[in-house]
Amino acid sequence: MLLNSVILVLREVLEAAMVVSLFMAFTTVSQQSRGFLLKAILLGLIAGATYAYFLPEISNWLEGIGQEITNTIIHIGIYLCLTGFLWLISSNIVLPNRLVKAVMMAAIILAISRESAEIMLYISGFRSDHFLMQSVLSGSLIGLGIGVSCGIFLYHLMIALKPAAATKFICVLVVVVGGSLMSQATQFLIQADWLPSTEPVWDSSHIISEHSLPGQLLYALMAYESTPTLSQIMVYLASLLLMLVVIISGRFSRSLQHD
Amino acid sequence: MKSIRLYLLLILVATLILVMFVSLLKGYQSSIDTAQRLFDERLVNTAELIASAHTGQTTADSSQRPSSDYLFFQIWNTKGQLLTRSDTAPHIALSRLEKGFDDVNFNGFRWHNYVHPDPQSQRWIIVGERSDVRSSMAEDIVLATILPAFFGILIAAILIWWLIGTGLKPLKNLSKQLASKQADDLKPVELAPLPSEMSQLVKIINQLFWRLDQSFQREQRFAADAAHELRTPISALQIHLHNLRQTYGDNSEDWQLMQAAVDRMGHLVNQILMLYRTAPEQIAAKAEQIDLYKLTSEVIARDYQQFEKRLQHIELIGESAMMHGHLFALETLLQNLLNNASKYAPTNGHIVIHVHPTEKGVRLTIEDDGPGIPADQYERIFDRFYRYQNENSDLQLPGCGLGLAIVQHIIEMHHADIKLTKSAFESGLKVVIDFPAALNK
Repeated sequence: MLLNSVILVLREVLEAAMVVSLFMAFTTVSQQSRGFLLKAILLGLIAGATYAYFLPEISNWLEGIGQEITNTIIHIGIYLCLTGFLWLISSNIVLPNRLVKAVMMAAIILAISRESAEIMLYISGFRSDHFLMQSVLSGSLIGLGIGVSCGIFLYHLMIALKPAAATKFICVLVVVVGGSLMSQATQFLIQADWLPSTEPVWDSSHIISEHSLPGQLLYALMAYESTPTLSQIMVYLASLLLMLVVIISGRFSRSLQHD
Repeated sequence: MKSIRLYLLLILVATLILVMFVSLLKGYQSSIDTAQRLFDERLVNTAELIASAHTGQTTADSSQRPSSDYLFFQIWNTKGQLLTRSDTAPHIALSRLEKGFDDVNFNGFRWHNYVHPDPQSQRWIIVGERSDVRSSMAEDIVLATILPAFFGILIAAILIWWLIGTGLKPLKNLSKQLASKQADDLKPVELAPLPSEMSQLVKIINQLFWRLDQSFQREQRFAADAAHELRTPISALQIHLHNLRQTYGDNSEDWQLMQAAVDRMGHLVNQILMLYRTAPEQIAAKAEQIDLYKLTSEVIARDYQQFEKRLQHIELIGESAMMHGHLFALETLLQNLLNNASKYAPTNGHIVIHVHPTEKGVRLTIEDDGPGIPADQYERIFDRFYRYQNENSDLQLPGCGLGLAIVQHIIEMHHADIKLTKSAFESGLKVVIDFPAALNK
């Protein structure tokens, strides 16, 4: 049970830690205040608790696929925020900018609310089973510790770079995380039977298992799946492409303004 | 990076957590495997014990068997007949009669079974254990070793916080010393013990202080020497001018302009000399208890001639007011302010001076009935070499624009506050200065 808890909590925490540390590094590199990030984290936790509280009801929506559809909407929401962020910082804006702050806050609130709701729901499922609670809590604590530590390392890795290189690195990671979010959204739609479930295109579980620590890290970073379906791969690549187009067009509009 | 201590704490604790938790997970996995092996051995032993304890060929009757809800056994003969079973066991074989371990679902649980052949008595013994109970027992054993690690990390974090604080103490001491230094304190920084990592930094800081001190001293010496050396030829020039006027009896405008220019040059040199005599280190070193009321009356008495010459009424109101300050600097301040008041007050004008002790120190107020200064010029008139010229007045007053700059300088050295407002007369300026009772506070 401990191992299952570690894997579940680590997966959720890593995803949220990625988004938070990326934006934290961006605010540090661009010398902006970081108080709003803390507010976003707290608001995300409150939203997560609310989401977890109403999740049993939400799950019953749309003939039992409410949770999958809500999760899909949240993932698409985060993806749109990340795309907006990339557009803003690629185009000609002066930092600090209110809109950039707003999209960062929205992305963090959405990411933390979804991930924390999953964790809260998972732990609360063992409320009545004191026998398992201890190992679930220990596993969750280990998962939380590893996830947050990875986030701290990622943040310090980014701020150790020169500002220009750090901003580029942050953009690349935002694109990768964006693709991962859309790939997960596709998975939810497959679970909800809104998208057809097809045969996996490949099986790489013998190289990196999804249940191993590197597998979890890769899942958080780029939604690694050892057995992805064609629709997941297509959506993943399309999302990456869209973000790259947004960055290029942002830079293009900036160069036009400069001319 | 806002704080080195916080950065080190975060990064070290994150490293500790990452390394420790990943090792714990590895340890957990191998401990669980070991525990499962031990439980399997126990299952084999139980099967062998049952085989040796039960030798009869009785048919299934479980009424006398001890029962457990997470353990069962069945004894079958080679013909596939159930000889006996525990309370919890069903009447059908829960595993195929083949030697080894097997996992099956039964009664809403997953069971881990061991099938043991007993060739002597031609029987098969099936012993099963609930998998969830096995896992929980294994986890209980392993968790007992994991839980202290959480407290260990907490204690390690506190220790790291404290140790980093201790390690950074020399840096904190250096920053404290630099922060507490007065603007004029250019003495070298002393750190004991001095860590090797900081010796170069302290050396460079002290070299900078030394060079700064040297250049300050050079600058002061130059200004003071130059002013001092200039005084003699200017005095000689003034005497020669006077003699020339006496000899030729010429009182034309050219003579008067030349006289005014030489007087102005003399005044300027005197003011520069005064500015450097009131250097911060001199003020701090030679501060003493002074009665400002008494000092003001002395300065008025000394310079009374200039007020008398212009038929000005000067009035000193107040009482004895003791304060800590530099005598020469305060004399200069009073001289400059009274000089200014006299210069701008008209003939037959009024100058009123108040000196009173206050709760925090001493208040000095000087008012005149001159033309005054517009409020937007209050800040600027303290600038060096800035002279305010009233647009409505044709009066060309002598001066070099250093008087109020010197006043401001002396006020700063005494940590006093100066305020300019309109005087109580119809027009004119009111200067209010609040001195603290003690210097350097």
